[in-house]
Amino acid sequence: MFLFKKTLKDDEILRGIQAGGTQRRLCENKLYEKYYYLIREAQFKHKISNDDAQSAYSDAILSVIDHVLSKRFEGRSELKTYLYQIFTNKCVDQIRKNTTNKAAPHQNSVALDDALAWLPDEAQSVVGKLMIEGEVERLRERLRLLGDKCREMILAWGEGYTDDEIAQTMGYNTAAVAKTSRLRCLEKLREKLPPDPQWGN
Amino acid sequence: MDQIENYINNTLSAAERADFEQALKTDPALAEAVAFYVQAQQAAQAEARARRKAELDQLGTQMSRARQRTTFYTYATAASVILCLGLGYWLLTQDPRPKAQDKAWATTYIEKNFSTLTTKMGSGGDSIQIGISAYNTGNLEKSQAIFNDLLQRDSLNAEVQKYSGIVSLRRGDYDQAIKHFHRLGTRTDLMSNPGKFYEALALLQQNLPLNKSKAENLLKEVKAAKLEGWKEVEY
Repeated sequence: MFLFKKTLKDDEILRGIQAGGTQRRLCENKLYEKYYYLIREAQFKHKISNDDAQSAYSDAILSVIDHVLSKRFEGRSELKTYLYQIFTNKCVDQIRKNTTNKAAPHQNSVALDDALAWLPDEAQSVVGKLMIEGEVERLRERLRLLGDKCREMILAWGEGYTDDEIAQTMGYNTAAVAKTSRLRCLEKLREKLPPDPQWGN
Repeated sequence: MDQIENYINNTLSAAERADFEQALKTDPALAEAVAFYVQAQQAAQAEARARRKAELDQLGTQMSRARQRTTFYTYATAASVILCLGLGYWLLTQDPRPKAQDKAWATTYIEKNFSTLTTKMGSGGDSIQIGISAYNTGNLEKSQAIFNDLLQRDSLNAEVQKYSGIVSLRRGDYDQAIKHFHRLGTRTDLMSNPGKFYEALALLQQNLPLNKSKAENLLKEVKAAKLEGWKEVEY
């Protein structure tokens, strides 16, 4: 019964997430469970359905996890306060989505621009020109067609797990071996793309 | 891919980094590979996030169901506790002894006390004794006849009235039994008078609709006045 599950303190949860590996996954779930009650509050406050509130809550939790891992969350406010603020914003986004029935149009291009921010300006424009809107979606579809091991490895990489953590969970001898396998899987993903002048095949 | 990743992760030396950036501007294949790497990373992040979100949604559904079950069990437990407390209270306040006004109680008394009759010395002579003997041997008809005859000859004989009533009671002739006991019960000249008590027994055995309340009233009277049989009454 969830009634008697042990509730971790916020700092224990944060340390667990930052520790990585299996502890990270466990603490992410603990974080989700600990503040789950906010969903009901949001339902009444924002007058949204339980499904919408639950979806917004999951999104908020994932955002908090990203911020904890990237050290964007510095711990200057309470974890609950931080989560509550993000959750409120997600609920508002959900209401807007329900009202207009479309996602915000510029989200994907903003994400891609951020991804190139580490390149020098000249290189950014060269690489940027080669990136097409919608290509990420195509890659996601191709990712699902990869073999189980490759797919799991790439998804773990996408979730931010290090090669060392991937090696431990997937049974590779060293991080270096895991990295080599992962890059090989990326090549396979690239091979799965159909011939396209963009890629020069 | 390895070189691209090393560049992104800033593990190249300054010279290697500069060479890479230069190559990026002039080598279309490298630029394509970088574009692919960046988008593949985006795709991996998006797909991983979608999968993780689905896992969390599933966790939420499980929690919601568990919460509903917990709420149900809490209410069910509370209802059971209240029910048990109520039942316990009711049982504790019940008198386990059979009530004086029950027919079963009357039957038990009759079987215990009227299966045989005894007589006191000098109570009326051989005729009463003969009637009692007939009763004790199970010849209730003969016993009834003897006592009826005696009653005709001496209607004020309290013993005969009593035995007539008892024989009628044992024979199932409740009207006669009630009549005899009632007459006996109205007498005021006796030291010990079981009339009202026996009348109540007969009423309970007869078990007609209004008999129970009549018997109750008689038994309360017996108890209050401490008439013969009052110790048997459970009020």
